[in-house]
Amino acid sequence: MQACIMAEGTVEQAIETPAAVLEFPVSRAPGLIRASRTLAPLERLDVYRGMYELRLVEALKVDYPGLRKLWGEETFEELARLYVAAHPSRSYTLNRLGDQLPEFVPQVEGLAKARFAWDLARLELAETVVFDEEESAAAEAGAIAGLTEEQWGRLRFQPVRALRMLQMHYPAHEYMQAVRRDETPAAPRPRKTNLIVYRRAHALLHLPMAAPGYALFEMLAQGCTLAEGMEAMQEAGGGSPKQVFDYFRVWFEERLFSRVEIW
Amino acid sequence: MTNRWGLPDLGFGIGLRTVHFPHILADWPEMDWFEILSENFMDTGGRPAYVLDRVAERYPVVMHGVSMSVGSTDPVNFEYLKKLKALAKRTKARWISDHLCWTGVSGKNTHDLLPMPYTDESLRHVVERVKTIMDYLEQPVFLENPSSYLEFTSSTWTEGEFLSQVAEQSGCGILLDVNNVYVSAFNHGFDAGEYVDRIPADRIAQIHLAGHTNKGTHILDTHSDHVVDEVWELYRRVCQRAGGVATLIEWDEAVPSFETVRAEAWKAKAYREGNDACGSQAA
Ligand SMILES: [Fe+2]
Repeated sequence: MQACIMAEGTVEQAIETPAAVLEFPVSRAPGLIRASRTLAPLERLDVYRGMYELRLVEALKVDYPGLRKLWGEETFEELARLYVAAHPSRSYTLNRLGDQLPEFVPQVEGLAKARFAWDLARLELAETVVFDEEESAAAEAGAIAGLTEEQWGRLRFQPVRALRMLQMHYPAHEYMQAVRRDETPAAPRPRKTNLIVYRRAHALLHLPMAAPGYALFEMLAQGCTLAEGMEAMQEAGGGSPKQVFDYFRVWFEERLFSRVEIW
Repeated sequence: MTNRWGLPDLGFGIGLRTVHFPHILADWPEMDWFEILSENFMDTGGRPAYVLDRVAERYPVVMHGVSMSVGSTDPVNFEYLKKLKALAKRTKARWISDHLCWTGVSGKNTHDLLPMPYTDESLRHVVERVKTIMDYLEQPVFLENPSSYLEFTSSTWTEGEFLSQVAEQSGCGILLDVNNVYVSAFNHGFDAGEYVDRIPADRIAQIHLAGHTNKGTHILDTHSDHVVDEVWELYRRVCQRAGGVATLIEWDEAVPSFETVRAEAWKAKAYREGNDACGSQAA
C-alpha cells in the first residue's frame, strides 16, 4: 500500500480527509508508525509534512526573487503555499515547479499590485527557461555580408534557443535589474515594454525594443523571411533602412541568431 | 586496488555546489573527485552544464540522485533513467547512486526521501526494481541508507539488514552515509556502531559524511554544518573494516568556502589514515 495524500493543515486533519480514509481508517493511522522516545507516531509523520512544504516553497523562492521583493517574504510564502497546494509537483525535478505561477497570480484575490506582478512573474519564468535552455552556436554577421538586395529579402533567421520574447504593460525588467543590485525598488508605473530575454556567455540579459524592431524580430522568430518581417515592421510604425541595419548590428553583436539561410 | 565492481577508491571528494563554481573555474583547486546532484544537471544546458563539462574534464565525477525511487510502487520511470544515463555518459560518471527510499507515487513527487517498511514483500519489490534499473543503466548503482524520522510497525527487518539484503540479492553497492546512520540511530533509538558493524564490508562502495541539526526531540539531516565527533568515530570504525572506500563530504545548507568544505575532506583522509589531525580523539 502506498499513497501520496496532499491535504492542507495538520497531519491529524490530513488523515481524516476522504482520500486518506480510503487508504486506511483514521483509527489505524497512528498504529502504522512506531513512536520514538520523544515523539508520538503522528508527530513523527509531521516532520515530513513540514519538510515537504518547506522544500517546495524554497524552490519557488529561488525562481521568483522579484515577486518576493515586491510582496515581501511572508506574502510570497503564503502565495507559494497556495500554489503548491493547487499544483503539486509531478516531476522528478523542481526546476519547472513554478511554470504555472504566472497564470496562477491573477486567480488569487486581494494580491497587491497584481497587474504588475503578472508581468514580473512572466519575466521571471522566462528567465528560468532561458537560464536552462540548451546552448546553441551563434551565427556570425559575416553570414549576411555581400548579399544582393534580392537575396536580403529572402533571408531567414533562426534565434538561439536560449531566448524568449515578452510584451509587458510594465518595464518589469528594470525592476528585476534593481532587485539583482540588491535594491528595494518601487513598483514601476505602467509603460508598454517589448523585451527579449536571452543568454550570452552564460549571463541572463534583457534587450528592450521599440515596437517596429520587436515586430520584425517576432516575424523572423516565427520563420518568416526578412521581406515578410519588414512588412510587419512597417505596420508596427515603420523603420528606415538605417534603422533595420542598426537592429541587425545589435542582434548579431548580442548573438541572438543561431542560423541564417537564404530561402 | 579496485572493489568488487572493478571501481577504484577515488579518495576524498566533496559535493559540487553552485557557490563554489567561480572558485573552481578560476583556480582548479586540488580535489580528488566531485559528486554532483544528478537532478541539478539533467535538464539544463546553461551555465551549470558548462561548468560541469569543464569539471568533468579535470576531475573524476560521480552522480548522486534523489529521484530513482526504488521503493515506489509506480512503474520504473524510464524517462528519468534515460536522462540519467545520458548525463552519466557525458560526465563519464564513475558510478551512479541514489537512496533506499521512495519519493512519490501515482505520479506525484514529494521531493523527499521517504522511508519504507522493511518486510519480505518490500525487499522482493526493491530487489526487482534495482535489477531492472542497473540493467538499463548498464552501470553499477549504489544505494544509500537515508536519514529517517519515522519507522513502520510492520517492519520485520532492521534497515541495515534490509539494505544489505538488497545489495546481496540485486548486486548493487551500498553508499554508507555514516551521518545518516547516526541521525537515524538517534531518531529511532538503535545502536549506530552495531549498524555499521553489520553492513557487509565488501558491499560498501562509497561513504558519505555530513553535518546535521539537532532539534532536541529528533535530528534533521540538514548537511548544514561540520561533521560531529561521534560521526568521525563511526567513520573510523567503518574504515577499519572496509579499508579504502571513496569518501565524500556533503554540505548543502549555509555552504561555507570551498577551503572549509575541502578541509573536512582532508580531515576524513587523516581519520582513515589513522592519524587524527586534531589529536582530540583516541585511536
Ligand atoms: Fe548522504
